[in-house]
Amino acid sequence: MSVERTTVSIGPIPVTISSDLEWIHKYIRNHFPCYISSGNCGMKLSLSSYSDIDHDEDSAISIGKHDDMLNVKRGDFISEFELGGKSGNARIQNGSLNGLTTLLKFAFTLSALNYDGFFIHSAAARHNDQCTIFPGRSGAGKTTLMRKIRKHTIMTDEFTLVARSKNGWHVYSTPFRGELEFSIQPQSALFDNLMYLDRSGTAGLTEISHAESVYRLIQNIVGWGYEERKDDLMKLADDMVSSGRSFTLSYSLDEDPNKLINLQ
Amino acid sequence: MKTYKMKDSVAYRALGEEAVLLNPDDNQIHLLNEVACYTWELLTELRSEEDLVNLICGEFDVSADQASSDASKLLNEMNEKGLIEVLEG
Repeated sequence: MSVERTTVSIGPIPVTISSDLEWIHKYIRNHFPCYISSGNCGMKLSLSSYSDIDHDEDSAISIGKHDDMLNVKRGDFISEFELGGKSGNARIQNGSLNGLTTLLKFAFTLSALNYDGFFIHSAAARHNDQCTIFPGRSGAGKTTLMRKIRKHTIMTDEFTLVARSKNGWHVYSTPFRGELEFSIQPQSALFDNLMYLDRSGTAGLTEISHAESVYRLIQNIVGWGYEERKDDLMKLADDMVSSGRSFTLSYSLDEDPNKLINLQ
Repeated sequence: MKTYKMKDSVAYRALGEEAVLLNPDDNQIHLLNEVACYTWELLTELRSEEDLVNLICGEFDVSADQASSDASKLLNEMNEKGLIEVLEG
């Protein structure tokens, strides 16, 4: 097969995958059809076959930096990305869908800052075109909360893009889902609130300071550890927090969180 | 006498009366309250603990004992987290 190109776009961020591996293009066409866009721009990610060792997507991921490159390696792929988010190349085990998803996440995460955006480990839900983001790492209770919400429409349950545009901060769904089944259709909404899930706090919705919100948000930004342009990222986080309100949300498992979420 | 100074590599972003610090050595973020922000800004220059206590007392409505205890705790914490340089003598 000759080299084929497929561009996947999340919100304003395109990543163009260039590969002669047919299964990659087929998987994207079948699983992310609504995220495929025309054109050929954004980060250029070249993928080729990696058949040197046994497929092992459960092995630990190793991340290192060398010059201006980010080297990311796991049992099922070996890759390097330009830290400015312009290009990347990887060799991937045949058929490793998990590996492909991981590589795409790295590509989008590194590109986001070029579009005044960043990804957050969070769930997000919208109501009347206004979006509330629920940041939290694995185990914070995002999925449990998303299962309980009624009035809002789920946009994401683990990986959310936020990006600044001329008319404010927008929240975008992504094709990367956690455990929940919900619409894969791309959605966007205006950013309204941040609600940090807090299992140890007193039950309720408590407004927090701007600084505390920036502090908490940064800890949930995907790729914070390896991003070289941390100062720019911090400025963006500051700007985003300024454009909405921030709360901690604490509730017990037998409580209905809808009453709290709808309070704001 | 020990003197203290902020590490130049630590990034600081003021957010109202509070601020966040970023230590690039370990990628850790730290949240500073109003008094800690004021102290951090004083540490652009080499300062002794005594200097800091006097300046904090002049700026905030706290007793010298309280300021001394707060400054000592804050300097220890900042040192443990690799945010400041400590010079002896």
